[in-house]
Amino acid sequence: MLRIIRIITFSLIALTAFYLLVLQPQSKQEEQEVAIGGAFTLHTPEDETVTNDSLKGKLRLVYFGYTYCPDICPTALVAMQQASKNIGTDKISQVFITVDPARDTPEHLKEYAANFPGLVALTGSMEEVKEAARVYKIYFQKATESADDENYLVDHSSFIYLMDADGKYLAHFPHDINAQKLEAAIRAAI
Amino acid sequence: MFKPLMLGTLLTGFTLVSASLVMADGNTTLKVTDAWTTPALTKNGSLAVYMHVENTNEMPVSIIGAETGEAEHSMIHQTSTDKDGTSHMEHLMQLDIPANSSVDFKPGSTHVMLMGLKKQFKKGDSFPLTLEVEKGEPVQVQVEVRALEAKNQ
Repeated sequence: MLRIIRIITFSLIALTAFYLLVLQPQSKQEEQEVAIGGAFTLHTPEDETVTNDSLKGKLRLVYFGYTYCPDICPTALVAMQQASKNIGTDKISQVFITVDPARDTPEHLKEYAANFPGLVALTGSMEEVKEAARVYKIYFQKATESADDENYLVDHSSFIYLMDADGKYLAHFPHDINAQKLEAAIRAAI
Repeated sequence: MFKPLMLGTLLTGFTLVSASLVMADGNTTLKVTDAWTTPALTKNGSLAVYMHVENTNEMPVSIIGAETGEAEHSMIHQTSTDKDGTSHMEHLMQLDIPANSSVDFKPGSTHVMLMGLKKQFKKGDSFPLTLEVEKGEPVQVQVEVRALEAKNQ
């Protein structure tokens, strides 16, 4: 009996070690290989085309959301705004990409962006928005639970991404990060 | 056999007494302080209202809705974010506040969602909002419009 227990215990230890040493590093490596960021084409409310290349030259904070999102989106944008101001808007740009192009018309988006000086607010056709979301690994989906056809919610990935001056991924932060912490985290990542 | 039965009778009796006490009391009210929101960012947009709600009663109290003449829809919402970073807002039909405890409505968590705003509120404005309470008087709240930066403190 004791022998069987010993064998089982040893097997478990061996299996755990095998998982930790061999399998897990591989899966972590795979995760890192899934690149965040890349080519996209979107438009400002003034109908200027913005691409991954046209934003190069400055660090960039990227957040996907929608203007009818009252709780977390403004919270994230306030943090982005304050952190960028302290780091220097000549060094870092703030990009907001709508996941609700149907309601976030250029006019509406322009009005919203005016609350956040320096914010590059972007929209496009649903296909263009979907492509930008795909390259940034952003999930979004109109919520089934909605007040009516005009007053709906959108579930969406809510990370704030930090990209380098070439548009390559550096780090991501939660939407509710405090502005001071975001600033410190950006400085640490660059 | 005897003991559980006696305990059951006692408990039933106790429940009946508690219930009648509540009935006699009539008004089950909540204490709401620090109700605030941010300026409207667009015309006809949405806003989230935050507040501190205290239940000083000896029994749980449930908020079953919210109402303001300033918006087409007012709902109690709960934001949650999963480990993959996807945020979702859930419409709460009922928010139970246990006896002698409080709930903070705060950014990224519970809030009253106002949709279809009729007015574009600015910092310094205020407006009335009513919380509907199950088996109790509605609670009138005055919501203060604070600076946008209040969201991220």
